[in-house]
Amino acid sequence: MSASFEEVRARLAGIRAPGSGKNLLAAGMVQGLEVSEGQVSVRLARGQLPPAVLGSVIAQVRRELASLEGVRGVDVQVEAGAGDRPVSAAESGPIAGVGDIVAVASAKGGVGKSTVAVNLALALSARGLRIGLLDADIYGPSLPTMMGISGRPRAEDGKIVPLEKYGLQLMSMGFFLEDKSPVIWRGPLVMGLVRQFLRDVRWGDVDVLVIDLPPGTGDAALTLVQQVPVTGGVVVTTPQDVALLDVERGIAMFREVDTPVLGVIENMSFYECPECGTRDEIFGSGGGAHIAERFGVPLLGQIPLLPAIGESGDTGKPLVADEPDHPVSRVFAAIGARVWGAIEAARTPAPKILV
Amino acid sequence: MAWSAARPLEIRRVGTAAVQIDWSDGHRSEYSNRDLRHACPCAECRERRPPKESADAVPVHPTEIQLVGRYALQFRWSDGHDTGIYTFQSLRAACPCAECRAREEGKGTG
Repeated sequence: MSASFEEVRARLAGIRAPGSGKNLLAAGMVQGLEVSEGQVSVRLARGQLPPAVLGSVIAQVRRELASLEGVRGVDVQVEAGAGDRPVSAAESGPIAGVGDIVAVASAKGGVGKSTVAVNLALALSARGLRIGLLDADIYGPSLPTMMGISGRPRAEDGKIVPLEKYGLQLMSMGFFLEDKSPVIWRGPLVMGLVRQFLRDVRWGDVDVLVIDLPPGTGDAALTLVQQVPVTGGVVVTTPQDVALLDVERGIAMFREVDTPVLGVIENMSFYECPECGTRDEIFGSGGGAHIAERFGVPLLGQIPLLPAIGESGDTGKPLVADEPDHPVSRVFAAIGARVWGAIEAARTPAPKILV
Repeated sequence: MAWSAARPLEIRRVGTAAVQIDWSDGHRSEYSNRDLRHACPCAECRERRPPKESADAVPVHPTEIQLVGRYALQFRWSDGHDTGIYTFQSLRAACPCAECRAREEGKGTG
């Protein structure tokens, strides 16, 4: 017997809407509800809720509905609220507690962008710099898994305090979602959340904030680089020819907003046989080397395809932190040195405005 | 439109008549508030740009100028309008000084 619409409604009416004293229905947070053969779809309005509170509401809705007899699945969609205005100049200035910002982009998913971002952050940290890492991929936050960290950041005087591991200050939407079910975020909500991650987090005087951008060169990534004073962008790619076209799109995205491209990191460059040490360039060779010529940006480094890299991410022990002397960790150390050099060169002082 | 690597170093108001920008290549641009307001790049203004003369009716000046990312300025005008984002590139290309105008026009015809 499938759960009825009324039963589902009654459950939602039993959940209190944060900050209002009313239940979710009475507070108008439920924008849409469909119940069909045990499959429940709920559309929630975000209103003005901060990400942490929103995360707990989503988790509560899921828990309550899933425990209802005759419910097979629960979809939660979140729609933008009044706090998700597209652009406001007041929020695009410097970010408190943050020195330089490096945005890590890829023109498509699956190139290992997040793995590169994590290990790059660790390599910069190993240089004695204070580093923050923001996982801005709210569609599929991977930072909690890759760093082997869970738990909910606390709030202090209205600011979210980042979690810390391996010496990095970490922030991810993943910290606020209690399970791994995908959440569908709509429209400007994405920017609203990312903006809060940038502005409402108490970054503790980090020298560099590494931002793992949402994959692709679409609206979410572009809006983000438009709204924060990014010192420079890094594009992650694989060596195939197709991927080179992606590099072009990635570079074009940064140039559109006058953000210097620090360079390109080629991931899964070659396979080195662990037995005999033979290098096998499975995706073709030299792709990255052409980049410098063709686009006038440096190739920051080539990372081999090795099971150890993926495994270290899955077990929550990133390679650079876990095995700093691993040959690949040394590749990342070299990349870190080049990125830091490029940051120093790209830094342009903000203009003084006397009005 | 020529691309320029120059970045603004300082942006200042000149009374209520104009805005001055000092660029990193040593150039100085001075824009009349009337021209700047008239050139507002926001969608609404682009849609129904009034004839230039009518802009004289109400003199405006910027009450606030803010930085947008690392590439643009957002003006809040005394008439309350504040949705125009002027990129550094477009501002530099629109520099009204004789030297820049001559260069831009030379490009157009050549």
